[in-house]
Parts: sequence; C-alpha cells; structure tokens
Amino acid sequence: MRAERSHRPGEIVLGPFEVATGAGEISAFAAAIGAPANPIPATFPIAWLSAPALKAALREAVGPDFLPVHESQSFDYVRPLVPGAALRLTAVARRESAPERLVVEAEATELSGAPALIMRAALRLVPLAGEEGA
Amino acid sequence: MTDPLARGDKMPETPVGPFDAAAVAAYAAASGDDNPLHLDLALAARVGFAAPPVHGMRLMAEIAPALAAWRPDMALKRLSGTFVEPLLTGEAAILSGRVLRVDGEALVRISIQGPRRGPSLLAEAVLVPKEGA
Repeated sequence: MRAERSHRPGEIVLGPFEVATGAGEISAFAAAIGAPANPIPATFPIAWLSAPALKAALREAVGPDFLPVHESQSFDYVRPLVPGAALRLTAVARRESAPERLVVEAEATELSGAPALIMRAALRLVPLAGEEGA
Repeated sequence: MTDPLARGDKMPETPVGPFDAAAVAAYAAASGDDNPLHLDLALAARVGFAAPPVHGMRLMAEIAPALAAWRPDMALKRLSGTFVEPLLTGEAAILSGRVLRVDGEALVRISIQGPRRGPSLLAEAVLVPKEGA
C-alpha cells in the first residue's frame, strides 16, 4: 500500500492495490442484502473501500475528532463486473472544509489499465469534540 | 417483447425494511463498513438519533434488484444517490421510481422514503438496453 501526497494540497492518493472479487466475498455481501449473488450486486464495490489498508488510511484522513456520515455515493459501470476478475483500485481522498467533508474518488482498472468501474463517496464529517456529556 | 421505457413510466412501489440491529450488523460485517454510528446505540444517541441509522448503502443496495425485477431487459450503467434523511433501525420505507428522460439511455429517479419528511435516499439510475435484448 502506497499512501502519498499528490501535488494538490490536502489530497492523498491510495493504491493501486488488488481488490476482492472472489465468489466468497460476493456471496456474503449478497446474503447480507438479501439479493442474488449473480449478477454481482451493483453496490458490492463499496466493500473495496473497506479493505483494511484503505480503511485505515481513510480513517486517518478523517481524524479522531470527527464521525464520518455517508452523504452521497455514485457508481459508474464501465464494464460488467465478473467474479474472479483481476482488478486494481486507486483512490484519491480529498479533505474539504465548510462543511467538513472527505471526498473519495476511486477507479478500478483491469490489469491492462482499462477502466472497469469508477465510484465516488462523499462523507460528511460530524464534529465529535465538545459533545462529551451532551 | 417489452415496450421501450418512456418518460413518466413508474417502477412498482416496493417495501424496504424495517431492518433490525442484526440485519444492520450483518451488513456491516459483509461490507466492511463497521462505522460505530450504525452499531452503537449510545454513539447514535450522542449525535441525536433515537436509534442507530441503517447504512445508507444498505438502502442503495435495494435499487439494482428492484430495477432488474422491473426491467430485466435493461442494464445499469450508472447509479448515484444522496442520503438525505436517516432511516433508523426498526423503521420501514418504500422504494418508488419514475423515468425522467429517455434518449437511448433512460434516466430513472428513485426515492426510498421513510417516515421523515425528506427521503432517506434520493437516487438516479441510468439504464441502457442489454446487449441482445
């Protein structure tokens, strides 16, 4: 896992790293949403943002004083998702202020570099400080 | 042979939820989204919720199966949505949708409406005819 600052301030680039497209992960996700595992659930790629290394980096970008609340999400399906496909994900996380927000744009590509999926998550960051005892 | 989608076509309304704490925990485990907001009653109360809100993505997960059941001849090209109001654990909602525009692709506006004034999810889906359909 590489985590490096890009040339834009406040932006971190994460990856590329391989994502899970195995039948086991897909069927567990499908079971949890009460949907068939075939075709792959359209929202399954959201789980890629919770891969341990990426989740840790995003948590660090949020910081300990904020609670992230999912505000919006998009998926652009460039190619059909196939179980077992070898895909690599690169995510760019950008911190915004007024209001505090973390925007994550991620692209999954095939090993050839051809894009398969683009997703964007916006997390509103709710301040936790000062609410102790409330 | 199914008629092509036309502006104003409506999806059948579908019930969504209610989700209990076990269902929310199962989604957290399968998706990896273990944000304590959805799992911790005390934390949810601290930020002003009477019960932990269901993951917005758990609600969004209802859309593609509903679209596929309605129009199996169409494929999903894009799905986007905004989580406007929370849907709390134990609350029921209704999914509805309407075609806003057709120009080769069809743009469908979908809402998942819970008991609050605003929808819990306001989404848009872009559908394209499946190859060979």
